[in-house]
Amino acid sequence: MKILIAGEDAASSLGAEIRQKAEDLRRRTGRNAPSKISPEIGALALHKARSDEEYFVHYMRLLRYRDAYDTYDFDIPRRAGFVGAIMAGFKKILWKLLRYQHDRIAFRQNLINSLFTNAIEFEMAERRRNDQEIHLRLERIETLLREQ
Amino acid sequence: MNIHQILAGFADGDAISHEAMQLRDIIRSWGYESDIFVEPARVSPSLYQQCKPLSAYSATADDVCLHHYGINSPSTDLFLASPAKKVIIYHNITPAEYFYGFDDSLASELRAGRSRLRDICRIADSVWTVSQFNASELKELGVEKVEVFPLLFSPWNLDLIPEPLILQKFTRKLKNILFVGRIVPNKRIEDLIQAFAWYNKTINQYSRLIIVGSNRSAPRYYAMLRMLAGDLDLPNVCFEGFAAPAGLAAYYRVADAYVCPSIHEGYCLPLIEAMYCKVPVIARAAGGMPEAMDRAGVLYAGLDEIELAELINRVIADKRLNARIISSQTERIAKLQARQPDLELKTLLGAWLK
Repeated sequence: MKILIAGEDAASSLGAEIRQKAEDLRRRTGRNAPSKISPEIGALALHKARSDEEYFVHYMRLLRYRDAYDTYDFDIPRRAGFVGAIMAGFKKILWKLLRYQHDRIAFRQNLINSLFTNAIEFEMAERRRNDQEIHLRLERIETLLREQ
Repeated sequence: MNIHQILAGFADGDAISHEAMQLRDIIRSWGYESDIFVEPARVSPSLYQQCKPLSAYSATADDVCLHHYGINSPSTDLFLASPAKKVIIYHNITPAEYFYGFDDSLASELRAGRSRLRDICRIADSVWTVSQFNASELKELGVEKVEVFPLLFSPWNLDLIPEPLILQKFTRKLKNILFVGRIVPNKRIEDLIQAFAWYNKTINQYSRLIIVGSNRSAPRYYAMLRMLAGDLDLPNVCFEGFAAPAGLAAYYRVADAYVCPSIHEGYCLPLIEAMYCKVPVIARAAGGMPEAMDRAGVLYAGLDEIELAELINRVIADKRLNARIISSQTERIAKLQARQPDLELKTLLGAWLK
């Protein structure tokens, strides 16, 4: 670890404190920590692509995992104190009231998303099939030309 | 005698383009004719009036031609064919491997740019770089005489009245962490988003990450970042796109900290801009950034995302630490403003000036 504050080495002072705090944070789980996604299907898996073609293949695979959004409850941020508690309570009630409509809209939107993803996949498959066909025809023409 | 400049591209908000305009103004103030020549297809419409097409370039052996080199382009061939005395200003070329998978054609342009570097430097009559870091890269390639002319900084855009719409957009009192720069893979913005996830979820829910910069340079990388922000459930990551000068001034105005996790930079002008706007700067100790910071702000290396989140928290929350950082940055800016680029340029051009 290297930390320089205004040109002065702070790795042993501030750096040590930061490391300790980070260890405490690391132990947090659930809603108090960032969501964890398997590295195989996480966005950063796109780093594995070594060419534009590979990127597209990876991207489509990852899109398949993301073509719908969930309707789980989420954590409502709240400020400390009485006003914070009242506001958070109000937001919770509001969310409960809106939830029915929200879920209906989410259902429709997710349906559209998955139809679009399917359409892209069909398009990709069709393009591949066309490419292969053209490739084979070219090979045949080249063979014929060589034989003549 | 003319002193013209040849550039690969000319864009608003681009550090090289702005430096070229400053150099042109200095040279013109000496009484020489000076213009900027660029391939028209690579010019931002707002800057059409500021430059001429490459096809209009002509020179004699008495003239001087400055070429800003950061990527392989037709402008380099024109520079090499010019009968004028040749000065190459090396702004660094991002290693191609960062772009594999994100943009194959750009990666091959970058690779070609690096492979020609040594030969171009050998043909040039004088080789300048904008940082010691860039100079050391050239020395490793065997280029012996390299002059350092640090990237010019002009705060004209930051002194503009900040764009009110942007100020209004970020009125809500959240802690704002800012990144400014092109959205390209060597900037490692994913590291910042991951650190922000920890900051936002475990330290301060009332915070947002503002990412300002063109997303057209590497759209596939941009798509990955958007996906990452979604994976981490971070609605407070704001991708703002390219900012006009008054907009940029507004983003710096609302920022509580500026963080640059880039792993390859020739110099990094936004660090200086943030310092000028009195925003505490946290940057990775990589490439030319330690040089641009020059013992100001915070430099880090070897931190994981949770440690970076905690460092950001300390810089924002610890008032004494914050004051110490701002004071060091103010000194750095004073030093930069005391520079006399006019004299530096005259010394570098030396005997060629009549």
